[in-house]
Amino acid sequence: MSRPIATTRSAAGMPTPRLAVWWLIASEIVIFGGVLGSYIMHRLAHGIWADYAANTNPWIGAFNTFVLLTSSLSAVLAHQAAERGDGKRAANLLYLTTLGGAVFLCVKAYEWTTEISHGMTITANTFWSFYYTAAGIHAAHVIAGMIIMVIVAQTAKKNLELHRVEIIGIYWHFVDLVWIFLFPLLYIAK
Amino acid sequence: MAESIRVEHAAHHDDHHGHHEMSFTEKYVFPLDHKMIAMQYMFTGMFMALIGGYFAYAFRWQIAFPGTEAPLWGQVSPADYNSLVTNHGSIMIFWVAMPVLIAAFGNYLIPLMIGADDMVFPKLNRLSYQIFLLSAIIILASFFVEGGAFGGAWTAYPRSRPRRSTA
Amino acid sequence: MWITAVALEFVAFLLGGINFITTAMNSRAPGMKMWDIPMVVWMIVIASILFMLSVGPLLAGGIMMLFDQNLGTAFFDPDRGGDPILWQHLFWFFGHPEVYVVLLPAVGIVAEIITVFARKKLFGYKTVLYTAIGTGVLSFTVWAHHQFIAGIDPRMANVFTVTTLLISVPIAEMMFVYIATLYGGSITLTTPMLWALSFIFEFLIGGITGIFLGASGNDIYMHDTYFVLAHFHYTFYPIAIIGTYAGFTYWFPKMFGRMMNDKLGKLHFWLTIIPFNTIFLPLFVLGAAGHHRRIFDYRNFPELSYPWMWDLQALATYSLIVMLLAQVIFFYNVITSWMSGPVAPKNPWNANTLEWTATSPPPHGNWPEGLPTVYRGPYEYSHPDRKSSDYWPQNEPA
Repeated sequence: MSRPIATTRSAAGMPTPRLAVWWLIASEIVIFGGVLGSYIMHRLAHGIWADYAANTNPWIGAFNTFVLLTSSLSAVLAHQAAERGDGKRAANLLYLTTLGGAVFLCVKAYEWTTEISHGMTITANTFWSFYYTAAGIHAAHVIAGMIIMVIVAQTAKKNLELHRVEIIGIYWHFVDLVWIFLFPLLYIAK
Repeated sequence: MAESIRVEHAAHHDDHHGHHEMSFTEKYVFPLDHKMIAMQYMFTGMFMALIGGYFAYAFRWQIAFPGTEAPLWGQVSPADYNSLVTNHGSIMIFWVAMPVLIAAFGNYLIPLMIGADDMVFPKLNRLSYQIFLLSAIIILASFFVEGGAFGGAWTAYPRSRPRRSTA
Repeated sequence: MWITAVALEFVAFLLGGINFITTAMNSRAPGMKMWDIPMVVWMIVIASILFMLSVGPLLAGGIMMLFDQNLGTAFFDPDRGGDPILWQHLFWFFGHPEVYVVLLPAVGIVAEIITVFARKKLFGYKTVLYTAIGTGVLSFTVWAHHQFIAGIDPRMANVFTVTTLLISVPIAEMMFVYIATLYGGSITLTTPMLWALSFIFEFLIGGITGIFLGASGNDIYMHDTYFVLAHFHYTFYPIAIIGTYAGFTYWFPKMFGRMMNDKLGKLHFWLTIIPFNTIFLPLFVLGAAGHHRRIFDYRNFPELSYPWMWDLQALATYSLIVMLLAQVIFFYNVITSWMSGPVAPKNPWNANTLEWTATSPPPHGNWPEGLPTVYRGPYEYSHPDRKSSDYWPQNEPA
């Protein structure tokens, strides 16, 4: 079935997919905003949480931040390649980004297993509940982004649908940005 | 009931739709056309409204004539009463007002009124109806599972009771 | 299960909302400028945006609630360091904008209908639009008026009283615009028009009683009584039921290519609207007298079971039964008109907006012979420059 004419129109001066992904991000922001807002309110009300937060490992968190930021860089490079019409290079860079996401998740898994083995489980207290919930929702977004990115890369390899590279890039940057908020709030603030 | 109306729609439409042939399933069960999706939302919403109205009838009977049997329902127990009120509210707002007013009219009117041939993402549109339908089935199914439907008022407040310890 | 169903439903509408907003922003017909978009489209778009921006916290809260119940976390359990009021905040941060999410489309539908059947231009197109946006912005600042007795700081309650009373201003302005549109128009009382007029009337009652409740001092007495319940139903009933019937009867010819039976439609209208009032007007009285909405059996409360109270409760229940039975007329009317009503022309109401230039019902793709181009606004009724007829379709070249 062919695409409707409506999809190709652009009365607002922005391609439809890009407009849509921005709105998607707008709605995601408030979801994370809800969790983080609740977390901050609790945190301010309970000084003792700083002690719990001291149990997190900021170095692992920092390493993960670095990994995610690097993967964002390759997403930008992929976009540039796609602009030039070089689908193959764009696809490879997207695979690299996906790899970054995978490393992030592996590190996260290692971190969580250590923490859980030390008794800091999701039910330990409300700080840890927030810790696992917020980071868990974020990790779910990373996984979703990786799946979509592989699909996009598959088509981009054949030089098809190159505009999608930009769209998934925008989404990936957003996921990054959420982590940049989560990292100081959960790891650094003492 | 919503299903049967859609079937009638099929019979009526097939007469003057010669130019593109689609199978019945393609056209009415998994449509991409914004108008058909709007109709799905509309009739699902109306069906849910009837259920919500029926709930209202059952618990209003209990308020006005406590302890007597409501015709076509039976005795309303206190637990029934709570889950009826709760689900009356939830259904009427989330499964009637929103789908009919926003989803059905939005789907039907936006493309037609702005002169476009369809929504920009027809498949996304279809997916959103399917998720909605799934949620409607879940809320109705909750009446038939062990423990009965949720009865904590439509706002679903968690129990608020005095704090015993501070942590 | 409740929370799962609700969360799924919200995901569905988030997807739908993205679709609506993008479509309306990007896919307009050539020539259709911002101020040429019909009001109902604007309203649905604003409502979708409101929904998208307000539902996030509740989705987040829903996840936390699910974890509380299934994994044993304690986000909302005060015994273990949680905060039950937090849920109320998250819920109502969504819950109150939600009222306006469903209100705005209904208001838009009414705008379309009254202009067509009064044959007049909408009195203040931009006024309605700006008030809608203003309502949307304000609606994010009123949520705690649902929690006046939940133990929030009284100073905060004052702030929320002010914002709550403020939000009645744009809505009242919208109602004034509609009344001004009706003023001096040549009104035809068709079924959709009756629904639209009753919307204005009933919603006014709902709005005015809302002002009583918005004042925190008064609300402490009224909280959770039938007064609140009646107020709620006087706002939501016009929105959800009257708005739907108005829109459905108005666009029925377009949707199914047949005209609806007007006599049956009016019978259904009166048999719905009169019982509606006799259900909820008594509940105002009962609520002010102290009837609490979560009481299962009033025989346990002698001070709340005087005979006149029983009579009013019974009246409400009987009215409800009449109203429910009246819906049979509606469904009978829909089915018979669908099967054998008179065939509808392209533009049965002589309306301007684009959907009436497609065939009834429109085929897949809406305008197979080519999409329309727009030359003017949607409400040019009885235009002084136009002598031949009292309407001027949007797609007709000047």
